[in-house]
Amino acid sequence: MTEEAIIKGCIINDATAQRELYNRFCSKMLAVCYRFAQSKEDAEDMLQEGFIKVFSQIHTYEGRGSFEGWIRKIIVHTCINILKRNKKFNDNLDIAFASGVHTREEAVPAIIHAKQIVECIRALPIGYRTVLNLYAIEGYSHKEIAEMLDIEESTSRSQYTRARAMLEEILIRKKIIQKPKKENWLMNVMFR
Amino acid sequence: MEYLKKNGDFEKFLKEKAEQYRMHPSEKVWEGIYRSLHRRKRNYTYGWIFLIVITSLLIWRNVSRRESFSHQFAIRLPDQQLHHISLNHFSENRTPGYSTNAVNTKTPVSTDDNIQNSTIVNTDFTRFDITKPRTIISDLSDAVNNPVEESSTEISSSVSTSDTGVQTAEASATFEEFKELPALEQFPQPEGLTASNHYYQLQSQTAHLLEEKMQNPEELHLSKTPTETPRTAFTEENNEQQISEQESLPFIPDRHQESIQVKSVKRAWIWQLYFTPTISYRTLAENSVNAYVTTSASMNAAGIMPYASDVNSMVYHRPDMGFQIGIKSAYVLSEKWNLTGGLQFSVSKYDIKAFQHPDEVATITLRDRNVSTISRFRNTNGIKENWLRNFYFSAGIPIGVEKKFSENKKNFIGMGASLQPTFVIDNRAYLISSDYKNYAEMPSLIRRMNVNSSVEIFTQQQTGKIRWRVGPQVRYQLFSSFLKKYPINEHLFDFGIKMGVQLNK
Repeated sequence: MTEEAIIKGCIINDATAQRELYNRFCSKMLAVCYRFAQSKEDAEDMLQEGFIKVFSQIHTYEGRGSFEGWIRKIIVHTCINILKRNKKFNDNLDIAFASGVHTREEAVPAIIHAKQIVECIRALPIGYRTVLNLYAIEGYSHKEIAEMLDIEESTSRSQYTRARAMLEEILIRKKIIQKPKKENWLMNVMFR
Repeated sequence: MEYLKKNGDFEKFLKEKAEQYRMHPSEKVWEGIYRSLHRRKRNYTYGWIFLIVITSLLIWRNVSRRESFSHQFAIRLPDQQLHHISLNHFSENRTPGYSTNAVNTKTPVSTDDNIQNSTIVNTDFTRFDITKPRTIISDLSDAVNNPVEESSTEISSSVSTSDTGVQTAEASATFEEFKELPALEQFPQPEGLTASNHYYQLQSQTAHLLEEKMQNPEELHLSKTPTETPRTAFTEENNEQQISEQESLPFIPDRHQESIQVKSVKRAWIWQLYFTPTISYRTLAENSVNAYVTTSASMNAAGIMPYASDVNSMVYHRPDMGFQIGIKSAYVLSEKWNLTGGLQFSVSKYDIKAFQHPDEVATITLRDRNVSTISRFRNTNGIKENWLRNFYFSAGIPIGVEKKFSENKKNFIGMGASLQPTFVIDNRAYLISSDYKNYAEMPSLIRRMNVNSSVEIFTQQQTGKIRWRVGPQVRYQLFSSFLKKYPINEHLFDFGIKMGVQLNK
């Protein structure tokens, strides 16, 4: 089934086309939800609500940009809306600095799995995690994030900076990444 | 370990890794989406079911009404004809009095001896008390002499007018009593009433038929409800007017002769509503030798263990409660045989013992390929024991036969068998993976159309006005629940106690 046929089928509420679309994108979109959610069950709830929105608004898709990007945008917005209903999430957004994210030193396999990275992201406080997800992975600007989360743009920036520092620390501690070496300006001048 | 050279690399690294990550949602997510999107469609389905049931009930009501009407033992004559005869007999001696209808109406009318001899007046059989050996003539005399008695007279001689304008002369008596009535053939034919020749032919035929049928009283289906229509009173004042009206009578069409319904009409259709609580179970077997060989080869190629042992020894399942509900129509072929058909909805359930487990890939090997899905349930070991409830909700059209073992029409024992083309409307069936390790849902492997067979033994009893039946029933699913390409066959058994009520009398 081509993407066009699937879209047409979904517009006329054809269950086969809907299932086909769901099968194509559900695993990728669940991973997106999972990065925002507290648990897999929460992520599945987000996915379900997101796909219902996708199917009910598919007639508004005008073919501009990628179809996957359009779905992803709806899913992300659904995740944010669900998170905003959560009081704990709103409280965490105002935390200036979250400490106490403890990770154990673990033996890391040679091959870095995507799952480990995602789990490290999920280890962040929910406010940090959301901003980091939106900025670093989903590609939203700080202005857009501020509008989505009803916060100041500066808050978004500061949240991201702290979230990134914290994640780097976790990843380095877990030996998933190495710290970038500091460039020696003298050496650069001498050997340039 | 990744080495990040620049600051911008960190975002790129995160995005790249996050995009690689995939998760598989459980089936309930899609079910929730589907339910939400197709809620209206499902309501239509229930609406259709409701419409079918209502239509069936209406058909039943109409059929039962027609049957009860045809069971009346009645001689139907046109209004005008009855007036002719009556007037002819009244012509000689008209004295004020009460007609035979006066038992109920107390209307003063002309009377004479001919009234007693006239059998064209109604005589309702059901009101006749056979314990009192009185003749119709004497009862009629009583009625005439005691017009104020309202309910004591067992015989109602009446000429009733139906809604269609046809008067009904209902006669009733035992054979012996009937013989005491004057022969209809001996009635003098009214002069100048050529149109009523048909009536006299009618009378003669009726008399003969009555005599024949009275010899076998069981064949007579007598009405228990006399026609509740206004009765015609023959008053002295309107007799003259009626005579003038009758002289211009139209010719009586032959179809009125067909309205004599003396013979017993057998019930053509019987409608039943039934409910059967059932216990459902299943049997499992390998599909076939060929399928097994093919399956084994493909599974080995895929690196999966083939079905190495009997599947029945590898699974643990238990019966569960289900039910069947439906409406059945039986066409009476003969006194002992009925042809049956109907509409039935069934829910068959059984449980499989499984264990919850984190998501893992379950592979099911078909004849031609492998299919994989995510499973959260293991067959043998896992985090927590659980019983997976499997169910099939289906609609079927049972077509079969019934045989009675007794000639008694009210209370008897019988046996029935039917074949039921079945459509699976909804289901939740967990299929075992090829390595017997996991259970997973694979709706695409479920067979939608199937055929069931059913055998039942029942006893039918009449309690008051209700005819009900009860008896054990076994239903067996002839084709596997799964498509042929799935290497395991599943056949469902339903054992139940069928309880039914006959809708029409």
